[in-house]
Amino acid sequence: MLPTPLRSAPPGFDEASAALTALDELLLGGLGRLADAQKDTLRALARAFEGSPLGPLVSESVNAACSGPPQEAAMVGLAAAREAMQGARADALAAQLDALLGRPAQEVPATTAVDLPAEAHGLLSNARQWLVELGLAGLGQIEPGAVTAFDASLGELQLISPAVLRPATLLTGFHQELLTKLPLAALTDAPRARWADLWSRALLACLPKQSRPSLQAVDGAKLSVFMIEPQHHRNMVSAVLWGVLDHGSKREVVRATLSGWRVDALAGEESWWAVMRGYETALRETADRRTLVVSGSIATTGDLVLTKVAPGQPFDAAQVAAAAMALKSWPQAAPTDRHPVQLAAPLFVEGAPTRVEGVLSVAVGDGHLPITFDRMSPLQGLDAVTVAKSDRLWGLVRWDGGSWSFQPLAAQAKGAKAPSGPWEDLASAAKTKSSTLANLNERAGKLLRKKS
Amino acid sequence: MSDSLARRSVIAAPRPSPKGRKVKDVPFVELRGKRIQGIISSGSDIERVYCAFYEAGTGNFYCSTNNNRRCGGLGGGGCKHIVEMVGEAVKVFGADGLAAALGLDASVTGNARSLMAAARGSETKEPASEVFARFLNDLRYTEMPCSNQPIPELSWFISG
Repeated sequence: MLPTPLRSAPPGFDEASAALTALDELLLGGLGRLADAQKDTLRALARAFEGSPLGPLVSESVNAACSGPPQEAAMVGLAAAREAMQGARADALAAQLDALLGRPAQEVPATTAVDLPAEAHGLLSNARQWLVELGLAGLGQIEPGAVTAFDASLGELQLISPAVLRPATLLTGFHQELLTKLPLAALTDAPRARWADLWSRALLACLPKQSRPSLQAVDGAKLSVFMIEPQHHRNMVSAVLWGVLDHGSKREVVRATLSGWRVDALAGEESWWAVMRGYETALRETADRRTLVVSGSIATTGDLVLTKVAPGQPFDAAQVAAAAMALKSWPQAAPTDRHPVQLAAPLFVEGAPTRVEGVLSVAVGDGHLPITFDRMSPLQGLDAVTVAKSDRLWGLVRWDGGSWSFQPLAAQAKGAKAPSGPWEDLASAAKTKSSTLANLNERAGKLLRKKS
Repeated sequence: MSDSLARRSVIAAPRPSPKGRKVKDVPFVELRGKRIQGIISSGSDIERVYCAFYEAGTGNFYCSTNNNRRCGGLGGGGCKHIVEMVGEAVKVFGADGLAAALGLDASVTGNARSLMAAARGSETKEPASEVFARFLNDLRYTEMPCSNQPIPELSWFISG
């Protein structure tokens, strides 16, 4: 049984979920030709937002969508409504998590308005137009030709500025996924909640004005990375480093994200090379479980931006993780990023996992959380057997598809000298050269430069 | 994952790592629409690559150099480059993954011969430029700058 605080849906949660499902149904079939019943669904959505800050925008967008094929502004309004509902669900779930972990709610992270660079505006507008066309056609009935039409713009967007890395990363993953999955045999084959999420997030991420968490400088702080979460799609790999940061008198749980673009042939543990080529010191020292002396900045969300890294001292990942559990400051999503998918509470569990109703689970509070392998990256350096035989687990509490789970990031069996996780693959990537990259660079040298 | 859960989940299923990929021989392979397409290194000339595709449904295929010279080995059953390309596609996407994407049965997507026997198509000339451009686009990723910024959007992908 789940721990008490997670056992039932928070108030209003099921209603928000139902409203989302109804909107996703419309997105699946397309906003270009709405039946009367579908227009009623949209009008109900507008009523639900009455009196809220988004109320006027949603009502205007709904009116536009009900009186003809909606244009970009109306689609942005509907995407904003969708994200607001996801944000509300995330808030309610986050409160349950705080209750579970016995920690006080944190302050909402302060943000700054940021203008994306002017030279990217044209390409961002192209991207929004592409998304508008997908929305009109319906996410369940996109023609492959409509996807390939975006190839050239996307290629340029990836190169134009690091300031648009977030939309470029998301669009690349979504575009690639559509190419591989289309054409669908049936409308219902679309992963509807997922594609609706990717579509609405992409539309909003491509607006020229964005809100970003405010930053504060960090100089010569000590970072002890106690677990590593690989996040990746076909063309981008991130190492999300979860650690304890000591700076001045402050001690907090932070995460630092180091990423690199990945050529598709770079697979398995070789994928680390995509990141290693930019951050060799940080990853090598992390792999050896040594602290890092870091400079850069820390965001109000608890995201650490590393600009300078020097080697530090060896430390014990279990001791640091255990100490991290007692800290009062930990990473959370920025206000405009709030979404259940962003919930990730670090959890360190001493004790072997047990089977509860046949499902491998960890004990938390007065209950158990099922262990999920749905998010297990091939870069995690872990498998189900290692997790089952462990008696110490590092990981994240997650929520997806209507349920809570524990995502393991490292595991240690009794008597083992060191935990199993991505450390070993990272260490070997730091020691060797990638033959795949060497081969591709040779191919690129022969073909790429010759052509241009 | 049950079907209804799969539809509510916002997480993509993890993609297993391909085993024993021969990147030097087939530096690029992808699924696009109902096609497998890729780049195959020439066995004899280091400066040359072949661009090939196989299309499920029609069964059509083609193979030429990046300069649009038809592959001399092409016949009714394709050529050795197409065989190599399909072999690597099986490693990358798995026979099941290919079957799902191509709308075929997994019993035929395990290798080029059974795949090409499933639908008898014919040699269909197409310019090599499209596949070649896709390959060059992919190669750029080895040279694009790394980043130290948070990317919350990757939370939807995690292990794809």
